[in-house]
Amino acid sequence: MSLAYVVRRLGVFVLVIVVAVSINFFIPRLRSTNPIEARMNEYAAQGGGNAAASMKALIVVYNQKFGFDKPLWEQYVNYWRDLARFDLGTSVAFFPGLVRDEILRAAPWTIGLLAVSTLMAFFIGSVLGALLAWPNTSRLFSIFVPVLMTLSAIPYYLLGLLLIYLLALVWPILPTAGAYTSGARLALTWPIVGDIVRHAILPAGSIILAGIGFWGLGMRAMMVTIMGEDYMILAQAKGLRSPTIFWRYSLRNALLPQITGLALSLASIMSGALLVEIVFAYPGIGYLLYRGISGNDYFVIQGVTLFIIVSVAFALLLLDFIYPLLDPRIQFRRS
Amino acid sequence: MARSPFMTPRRVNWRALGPSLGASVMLLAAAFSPAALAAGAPADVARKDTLIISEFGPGNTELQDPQNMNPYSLGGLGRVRGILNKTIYEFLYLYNHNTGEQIPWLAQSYTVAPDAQSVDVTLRPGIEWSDGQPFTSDDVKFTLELLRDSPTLVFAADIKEWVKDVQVTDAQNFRINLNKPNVRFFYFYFVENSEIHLPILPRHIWQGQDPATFTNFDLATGSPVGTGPYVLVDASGQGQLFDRNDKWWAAKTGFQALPKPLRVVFVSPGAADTAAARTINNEFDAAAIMQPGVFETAHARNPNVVSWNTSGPSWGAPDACLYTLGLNTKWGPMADVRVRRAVQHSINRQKLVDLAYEGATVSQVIPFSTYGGLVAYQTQVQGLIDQYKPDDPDSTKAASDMQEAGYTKDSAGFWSKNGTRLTTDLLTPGWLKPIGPVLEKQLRDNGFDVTFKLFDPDTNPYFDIVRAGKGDLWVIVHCGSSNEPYGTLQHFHSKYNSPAQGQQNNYVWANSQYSNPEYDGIINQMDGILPSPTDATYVDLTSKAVNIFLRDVAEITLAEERHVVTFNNTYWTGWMNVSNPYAAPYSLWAPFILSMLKIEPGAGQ
Repeated sequence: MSLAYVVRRLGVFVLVIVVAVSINFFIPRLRSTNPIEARMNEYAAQGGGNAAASMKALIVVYNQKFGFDKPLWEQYVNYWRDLARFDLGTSVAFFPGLVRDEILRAAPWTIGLLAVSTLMAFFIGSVLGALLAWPNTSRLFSIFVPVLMTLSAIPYYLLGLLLIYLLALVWPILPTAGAYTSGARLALTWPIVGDIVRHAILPAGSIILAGIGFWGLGMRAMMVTIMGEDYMILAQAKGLRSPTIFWRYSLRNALLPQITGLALSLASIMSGALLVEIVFAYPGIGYLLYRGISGNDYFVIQGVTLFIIVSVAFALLLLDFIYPLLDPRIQFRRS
Repeated sequence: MARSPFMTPRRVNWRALGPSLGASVMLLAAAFSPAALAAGAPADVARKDTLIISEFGPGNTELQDPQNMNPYSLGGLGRVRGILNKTIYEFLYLYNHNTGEQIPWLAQSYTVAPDAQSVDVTLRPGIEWSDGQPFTSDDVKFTLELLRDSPTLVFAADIKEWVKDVQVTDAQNFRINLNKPNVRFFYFYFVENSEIHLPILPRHIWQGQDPATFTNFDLATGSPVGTGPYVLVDASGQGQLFDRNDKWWAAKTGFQALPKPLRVVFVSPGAADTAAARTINNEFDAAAIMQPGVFETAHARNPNVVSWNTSGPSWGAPDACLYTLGLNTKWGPMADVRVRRAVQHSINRQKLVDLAYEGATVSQVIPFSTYGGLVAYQTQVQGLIDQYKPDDPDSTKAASDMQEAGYTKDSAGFWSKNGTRLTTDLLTPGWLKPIGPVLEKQLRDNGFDVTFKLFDPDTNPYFDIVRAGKGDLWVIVHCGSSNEPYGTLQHFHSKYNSPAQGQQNNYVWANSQYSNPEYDGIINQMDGILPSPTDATYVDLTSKAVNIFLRDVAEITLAEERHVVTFNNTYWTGWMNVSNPYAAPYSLWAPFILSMLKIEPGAGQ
């Protein structure tokens, strides 16, 4: 890997972020709705502000406070200036809460839930998919194919509702929703940790069940392709044991495209699993983004999407750098 | 290399895998068995001593601003209605919407001056803040004058418009001087406490703070400081925990007994289906609202899940709002009263209620809710209702009105005038979407080329159109008074009109753009009179206003908005209901504190 390649790749990384952040800045502003007016409408609909002057006065004051009274170019320059100081701004909907704080509050729940469930779905799905394609696997195992295909086609929020019905209502062995027991105080104690894990089983289960199919079918297709490779025939000709061929030759090679997918999946964790969060009342970042969009909260939208963009771009960057380590056939250098 | 226990050279060893999986399943089952779960209960207050209230409307997954307790900064009203008005803050008065009873709370009494330019108030003796400091007239003066002088605060412009100053007589007595006469000022801002809340702030905490950004949250110092029966002990995105303040002033003075729940928890409900499942599972004591069919299912699975009414299909409770078809009486085709009459004749309210809301509410023709305070007036205008017969679905009459207005049906069967078809959108916000398709069908069946247009979840564009006089027809809930006709009838006063089409009007529920000097005069007279169903002058003015409302079809009242509020009797019993209507059953409204003081432990699980 040459230095020039690294520099060029880092340049692309920065460019992607600049372009994406700029698009992210302008798109919400294409909407005709002013976020302060929207907030005031919401407030008025709740019954406040009967005096004629109330709304208009507040709108003027807060438009100035948030800088919405300034020209768009000036808002854009200010946005970059704030970003350079790692200041994501003040939320309109959560005023005077800082967007950074809102993200930090929600992110651990989402990252914890999605990282674990994505990794579990990846590992279980990949191994099952590989076994499905492996000729020596029992025929009984083929029953997994339709199951995997069915599961991969079901949206995970529907699986979530099904799991709630089965394991929280009909056979109530798991809590219905929430990140931990209502009424408990968050603390780093074993009962609380156990409680959090217990509450995560159903939402994580819905993601894993849906994800296993996705990873499994992808892995199965790759394994089928790899079966015909010369090195597989050579391995068999050398008389290597079946598990060795399975784990070291076929599974390892078939995993490469899966790892690309895994990196992207892990990177996009920051966007949350909105529907799972809504179904399971999970206090995560997907819902924060949803509320930012529906509330015209530019700063929350920008803050969350900035995290997503940086995460995905960084994951791709990292992947480009570590791919040669995973697959010696790949080299980034001038020919 | 060691051989994998799961693999042989030829195939997966199911004999090895089976016992392993079985052991894992057994371990999981043991770990999550009811006994293990009970033993590992993480909460430090038992469930039987905890009152769990879910957010009112389903859909949310986390609490907004869990660590912002400022009742007056941007978004503060939501915080007050969500959590603070029944835990931290109390109000000068509470109100029973069902009966119209005003309930003295922090205040003992109030008197409106004959010229309506001031209000004298006497506070109850012995009131203390949760930090032990006395609650006095100075706190009221501080709060009102802070609002008057701080334009960034919620209700600041209202208070600036009305309040000149607060004159403190002594610790218990003060006078609110107004800038101009207003007989309803005190009732509106300090008694009803449903949609509008003005909590009094402790001056010793707030003085010197920036009221727009002060979060009023510091658990270490006991903040937020209020006079209520609970203190905040924890707050996160999932929930806020309030523990009982055993030194609550009302218990010390004998005014009230301490509430039974030791802890009150506020949580987000999640999706509607999840919220229903959690209610069935006894996870909520005061739960989110449900659709009637969902409630019936929940009640069938768990009879402890109850609502306002004890029998259906109308399980829900009124809320002083009416499902309404709004009409633009100034601009566009609905400016012609004959067209408005034809629209009204095209609507079958009972079918609408049956189809859109499963028969779970009652149709209504004037903008009065069925709250006790208003029923006394409705009976006195029944003659006008009989005269105008607004609930008269009749295609022939609709056609006759349209023909009188110069319309004829085109080849497609839709009303047209001078070769132009009357085509418009039926604007509908997301929370009223059951109504839209039914109304669209009824109107199209009667020749109106109307298209249901939904605004969901972002309703801001809807309000932009409706409030600026740019829509012709829209579905809305018209919320107004809960105790007298004036509160709602005033919304047809021309003072609420947009200055010009395209400019926003002054008030969110007053969108008809109706303009009639005669009507304005009636409302102006009502404005200066304290309401009473036995006051001949007030009743006469009400009749005159209702007469014009019905004659001119200023808007079309469709049905009463009723919410299937849900409670769970498993852990706590004694909730308000139609047989025991000590307060309206809405956890958003301040009188809900009465239920927290009345509920008793249930049988438990």
